[in-house]
Amino acid sequence: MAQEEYDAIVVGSGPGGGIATYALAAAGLKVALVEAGPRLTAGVDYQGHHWPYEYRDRRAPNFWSDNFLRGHFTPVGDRPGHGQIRALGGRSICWAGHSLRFGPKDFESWPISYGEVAPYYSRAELLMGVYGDRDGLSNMPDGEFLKPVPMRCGEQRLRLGVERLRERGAKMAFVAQRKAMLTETPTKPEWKRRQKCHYCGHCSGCAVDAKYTSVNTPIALAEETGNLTIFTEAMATKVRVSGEGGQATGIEYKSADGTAHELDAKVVVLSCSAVETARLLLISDLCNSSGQVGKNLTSHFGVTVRGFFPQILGRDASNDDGTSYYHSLLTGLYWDEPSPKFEGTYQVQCGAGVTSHRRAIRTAPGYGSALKKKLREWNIGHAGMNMQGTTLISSNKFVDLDPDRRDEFGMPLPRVHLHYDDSDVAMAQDMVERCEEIIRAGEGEVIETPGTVSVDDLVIDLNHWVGTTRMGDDPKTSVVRSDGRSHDLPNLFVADASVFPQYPEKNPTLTNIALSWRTADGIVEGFKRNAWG
Amino acid sequence: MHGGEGKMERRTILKLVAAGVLPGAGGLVQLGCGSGGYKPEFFSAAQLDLVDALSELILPGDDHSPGAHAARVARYIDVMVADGSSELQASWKSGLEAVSEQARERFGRDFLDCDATQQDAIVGEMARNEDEPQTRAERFFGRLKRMTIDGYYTSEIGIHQDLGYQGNTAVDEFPGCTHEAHA
Repeated sequence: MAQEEYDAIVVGSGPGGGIATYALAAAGLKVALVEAGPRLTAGVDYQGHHWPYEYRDRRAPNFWSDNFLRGHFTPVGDRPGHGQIRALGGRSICWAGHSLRFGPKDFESWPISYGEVAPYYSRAELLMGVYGDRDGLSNMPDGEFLKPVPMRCGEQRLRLGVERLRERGAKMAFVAQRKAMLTETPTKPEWKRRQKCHYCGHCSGCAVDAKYTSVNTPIALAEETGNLTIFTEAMATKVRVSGEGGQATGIEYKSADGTAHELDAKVVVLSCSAVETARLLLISDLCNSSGQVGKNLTSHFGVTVRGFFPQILGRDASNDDGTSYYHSLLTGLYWDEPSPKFEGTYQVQCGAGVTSHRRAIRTAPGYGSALKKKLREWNIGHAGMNMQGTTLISSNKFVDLDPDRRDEFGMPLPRVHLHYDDSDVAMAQDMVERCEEIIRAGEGEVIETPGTVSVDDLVIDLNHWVGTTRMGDDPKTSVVRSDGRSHDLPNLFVADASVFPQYPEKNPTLTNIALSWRTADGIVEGFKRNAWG
Repeated sequence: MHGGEGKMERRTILKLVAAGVLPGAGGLVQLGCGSGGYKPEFFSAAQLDLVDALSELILPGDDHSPGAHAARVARYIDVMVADGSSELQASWKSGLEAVSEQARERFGRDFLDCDATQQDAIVGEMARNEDEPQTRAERFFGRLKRMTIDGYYTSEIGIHQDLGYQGNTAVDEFPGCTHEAHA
């Protein structure tokens, strides 16, 4: 059957796919956005302000846990995690909103510089609405910020501990978090569907769209152009190529009832997340002359240390929810002098107070009234420190296809291989010792710590995988160029965090959005030159 | 994935309590957890009473706030075990048996017939090696305690009366820490 040809197909509607869709449609291109899940509506399909006791099993609805598909992969090694959010907007619906620019040093090993990405960081922040403090840090540059959100009592004690250690020569900084949430009344037309944050802490499915998602901003804006066709509940199963294999010609997808369909386009953009983009390329057997598709996999990982500060007991009960748990960040570690004990570095996301129940303290020794008192005091008077370090990029970590297991569409499931290296364990040990020191310097008591770290203590961040289609100038060692274009197929692009060739300690999404926007702009330029036929 | 149907039921019950049709929390205490209209999904009535008593020993009512019994933690545990794996269910049956055996061996009677000192002695022994449990009863203590804490701090009593939680609501601005002494 003859069918309409699109200028571009974008596969996946998360942070990268959402912004690429917007940039392409706004430039006048006809875009098909293909998303495996349905369209959900904030405030209707997911809402905040429930209480756990309203539910039989005490599980209040939570966008993240209710929609995160686990088990659609095969784990190999040290407890790797992976899952898919199948919904329009993908992981941008449930992300925590952390928006940290990578710094000039972070780009030193990339084929592009901070200076080349900086304008896209600014554009992204202005579109998303990112709050933060102007901290003047060397390797986490300030952005276009809305009004920051203050820290809670326990976080102030951590800040005090950090200040005291800095006076003794420690190199680190303790700053307010930076998140993509509207802390000011939305006045821009781009924000007309969004409300100002009301600090209820239900950020993992913001019912009022105070938090930026692909749906509430770029996809909505792309729809307004009239140039966008959205295919929901459409699972991309293959990238199609021309007879001689020199060009991508479109994709195949299956709808929920299992029927197969084809779409044609001049350009194909993959934005399915690091594991799924690699999987689709491996299934399609494309763009892999370097053999690097699925390799160079890395994510953030961590351990948790918590402290109790008796000084802050006795305050009036307060509402500590805010923009969910982490209002503060320990950063600036090993930027100038690398550690002799491990490669790379980490940051520590910090939070405090009687807050969302997922982060509540649920362990203390003993039983009886003493236990009850301790749990109460620890919940009110604690601060939590969650390490986010980057796993060493090594041959121990990669994605390939499971030869035996297939999903409901008949596609091979991805296998995620994770084996921690000694450097990873050494980094976590350094973090534990540092956090314990900070808590004590703030005159607190360490109430939760792994102490001596082993591989069993390490928890992988299953939302932060990157690296499986890394960018580079050399087609022999990289999958895409610095503009996201495949070395092998001139009209196939990757617009998600798969392209990161190295990974700093900072959260990936803002950089994913900035790079994907830049990639989309390159595609638009190509259309102006008639590069895609 | 979540049971929304429980919501209506609870609201109906609260309305009936408010209207004086059903006794309030104070009235239900004397009835015991196994009665009062609750039909356990997994435990027998006797097992539910045992779980109720054990949970109250772990998080008791005191002058700060009501305890696990008033917060109906045993009903939460019943639901979680009913929904759980067969391994989890077997571990609860076996754990409760271990408690009963201890009571009979040490004091010659059922746990629920032991006096407060005797019950505390049994739980105290179960709690002895919390970090590295050795016996069946010690391992069960960890499970019991975890689920009691989960049930209590997801209950109205735990969240509002015990912790004094103020959140889960809309506010115009977030003030953060306003105490000079904390910073």
